[in-house]
Amino acid sequence: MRLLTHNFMCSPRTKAYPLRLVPAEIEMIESAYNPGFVQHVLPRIEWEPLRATALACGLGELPPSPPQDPNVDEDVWRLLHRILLDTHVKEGILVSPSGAEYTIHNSIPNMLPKTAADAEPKHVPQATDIMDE
Amino acid sequence: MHGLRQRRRRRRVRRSARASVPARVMRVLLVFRGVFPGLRIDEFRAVVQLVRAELAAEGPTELGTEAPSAGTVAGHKDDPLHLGLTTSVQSLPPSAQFRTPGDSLHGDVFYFCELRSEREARLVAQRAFLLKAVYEVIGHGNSYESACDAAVRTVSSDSARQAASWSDGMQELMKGASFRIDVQAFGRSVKQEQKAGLMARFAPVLLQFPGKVNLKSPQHRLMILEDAFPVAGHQQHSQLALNGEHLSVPEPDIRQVFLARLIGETQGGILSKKFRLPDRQYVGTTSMDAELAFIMANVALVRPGRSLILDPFCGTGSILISAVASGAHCIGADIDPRVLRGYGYNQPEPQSHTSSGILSNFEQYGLERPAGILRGDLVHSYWQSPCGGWLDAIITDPPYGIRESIRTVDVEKTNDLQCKHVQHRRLRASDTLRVLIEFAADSLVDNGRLVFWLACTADFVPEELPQHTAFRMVSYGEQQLTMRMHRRLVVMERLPRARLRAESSGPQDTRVQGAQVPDSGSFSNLSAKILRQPWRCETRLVP
Repeated sequence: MRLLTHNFMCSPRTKAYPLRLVPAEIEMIESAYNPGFVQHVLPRIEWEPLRATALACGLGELPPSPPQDPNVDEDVWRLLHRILLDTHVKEGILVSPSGAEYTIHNSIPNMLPKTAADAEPKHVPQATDIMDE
Repeated sequence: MHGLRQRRRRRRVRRSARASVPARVMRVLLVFRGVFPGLRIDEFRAVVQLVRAELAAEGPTELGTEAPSAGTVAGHKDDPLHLGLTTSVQSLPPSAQFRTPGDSLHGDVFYFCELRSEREARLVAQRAFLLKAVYEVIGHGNSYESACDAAVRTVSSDSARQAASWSDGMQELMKGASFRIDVQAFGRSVKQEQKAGLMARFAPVLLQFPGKVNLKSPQHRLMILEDAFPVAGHQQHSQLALNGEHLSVPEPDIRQVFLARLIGETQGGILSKKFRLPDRQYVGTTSMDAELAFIMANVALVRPGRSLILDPFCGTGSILISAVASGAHCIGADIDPRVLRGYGYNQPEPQSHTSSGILSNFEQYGLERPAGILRGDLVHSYWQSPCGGWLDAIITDPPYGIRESIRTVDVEKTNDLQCKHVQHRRLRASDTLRVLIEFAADSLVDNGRLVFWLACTADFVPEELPQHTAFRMVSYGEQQLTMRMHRRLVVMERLPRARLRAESSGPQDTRVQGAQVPDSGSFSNLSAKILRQPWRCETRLVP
């Protein structure tokens, strides 16, 4: 999961936002620098949570407010690209403001509405189980 | 302040200048492929819109490339793009238009359309999947003779006015560009030996072109397109003729003939071959056909390197793959852990822990990883909704209860701390749609598109389509699955929030009303109706 996705997530039942990311394993996969896309999505991004997450992942400090001009501060734009698109969270925990934890395992966060420290269920319910009768 | 006002004035002047000069249009012939007839026009319109947006982003140098969003382009209500789309048979004499029903099986693969430039036409042809090619017509008629006459009239440069109306390509041809000519027949097969004869019928036109014939790398390709009514027993006749038995092969019953110059051909064949499902590492029972998934990305107006899309019922990720291959950044989510982790369908055990099932498909094609794959339940949505939306498109194939059940996490039964299993309960099809549309209304940006398949029985009526005050219904093209079951590719567009606010009467009215989905329609109860399993009836399920 890229950090871009994390910025849009909240807890499933309470809609609490933001979810604090506690990364356990982070993978950096470099992708072609595409300033157009970062500029395109930046207005949709919550800046403060992004700054906090970038710090938690040890990716450096973003300025206190989002960059405005695409032609200046190229370093900031590149850093944004690195944070939003190149950083993949492989293992970790998402903690909601109320303390509920959602695990990220194998790059896949489990966002089902349950607050227990959840592992993947060992028995996978078959479609027929759900179909009652 | 002063500078701003001046700029505004300048813009106004430019706009009025543009309005006074009639926009240059190029009349082209579209030849569609024989597949998915119900989706042809929907996809074509979307691709034109996409290409225009791309050209507009390149810069304002190109003639007439203002942003094509539906809100800004004034025009006929049914055709905001000014495409002037008509089937080619409409310009034929009435006798050639219709015969007995069933004749027109392939008849509507030919369409006339008005595009803005040859470049636009070429880009559209490259991007659209259901389009075979785009041509500029030189001559068109309901027989070889009349088509040839028409072509001769086009190329005769007697009047200067005629020459001025030629496209750049035609001017090049008349100035000696090299060319080659081919024959393509629809409705019958034409043998190689016969083709030379058919080409010879256009000799009066071809002699007008001063250029050389170049088979290997011609500057222009001409095509004779023959559209014939199918003739009973034609194939046996031509087979006998091939064996040397000279029977009188029935003369083909020709509907129309074109002599045309090729502008652009589709690239779709290469992509759909590359992404074919049988060659894919990880597929499931509900994987979306690669070609259809590309068509969905097109109607969702996925722009390369720009769009952020979500599939909330992603399953094995087949829609995501096509979207990423089309250049989008995408997020997939599903309630079922099996499909995400890649076991349960065609792999008995979890694969290595380094890559999950979905991701292995992206690796197979050398595609960039998706922005995120999540396990989650859309009913208990885990996406925050910023006020302006955050997704450019939602492309999905929601479960309808036949191959995949419609379900949600049962929060009451799942005891948070004790229960290891997640309990599910079934949902009605209408509930899923309602949830999906409400979610889309919150999370799509202005003019963002929601594209989904609506599986239904044959007695579908447009009145039962989902409605929402924040959405405009764009199209609902049909694909027939079986005799009793169809599905519709529903495309809805998020109306701009500012416009909705302006149109609403008072502050109380600004909150958009919820999704209107009838509880019982041709899409409800499919498992009971199609599989004839009455115990799977939805009526006793509570929302």
